[in-house]
Amino acid sequence: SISTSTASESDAEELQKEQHARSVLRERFLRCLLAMNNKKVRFHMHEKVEVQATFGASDIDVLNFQVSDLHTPIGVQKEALIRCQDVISFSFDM
Amino acid sequence: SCRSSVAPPSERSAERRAAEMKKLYGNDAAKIQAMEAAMQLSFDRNCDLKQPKYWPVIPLKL
Amino acid sequence: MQRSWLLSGPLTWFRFINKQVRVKAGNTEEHLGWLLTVDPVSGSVVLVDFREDRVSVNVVMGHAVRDVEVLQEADSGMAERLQSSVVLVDFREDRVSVNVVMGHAVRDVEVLQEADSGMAERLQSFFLPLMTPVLDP
Repeated sequence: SISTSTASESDAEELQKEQHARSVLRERFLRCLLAMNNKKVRFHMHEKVEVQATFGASDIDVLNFQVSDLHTPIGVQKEALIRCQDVISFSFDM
Repeated sequence: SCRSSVAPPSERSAERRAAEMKKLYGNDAAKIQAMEAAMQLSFDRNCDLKQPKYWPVIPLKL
Repeated sequence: MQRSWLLSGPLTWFRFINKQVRVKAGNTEEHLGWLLTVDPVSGSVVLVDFREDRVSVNVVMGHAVRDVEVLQEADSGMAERLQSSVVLVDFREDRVSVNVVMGHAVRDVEVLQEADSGMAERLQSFFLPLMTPVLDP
């Protein structure tokens, strides 16, 4: 029973490490999304679609981006939602 | 659990969410949850205000 | 490289912080940059690239990541550039707006005035749930 208690102790330690890593990673990502507010962002999407828009906000599950002044190949859409599944990557300058 | 079973559904799901966050983020759960709440709030508010439509209308990747 | 980026988990992702990496995504994309973070919810990779007069940030969505290859480690100067960030808080009438300036993009910080005790308290309470994370688990 000593070995099981040691095992569960190191399990607990491992869990704490993982929780800490997850929270540092997540906080950095959330701060990055916050920093994008009102920035001009370029989206590289599937099917070689490239668009530019002013970033508004993201939902917390990173499923949708809310953007304004979306410049699409066929014109400008004033307000839009972009499905994150359609996006390969996006970039902006600080 | 007796208390949570009689609580209204919204309260129960908030409790469940807090427990989930605690499991994922440990001691930082409250901080991450607060940041997420602020972000989701601004997303929801913008969507209410601006009524954005999906672009493209049909998903590129199904 | 791990079989699936999305299933790698926080401890694996954490090890990529402050490394210069090449990320292959989708069918044709390839991105080079310093890894700032990986979102543990979506697996999305945030890369920072320092160019002459500007800093560009590139986010590769987790579902599109095919491969992440480490090219080199950051030296202490680069690590500091990547890590430090300044948060400016501005209270306007009924709402609070937060402006995050990435540390590496900061050129100059000038003091305009000291907070009185009321403002100091507001700032304090605002930051309680937003304290800077300590690296190294």
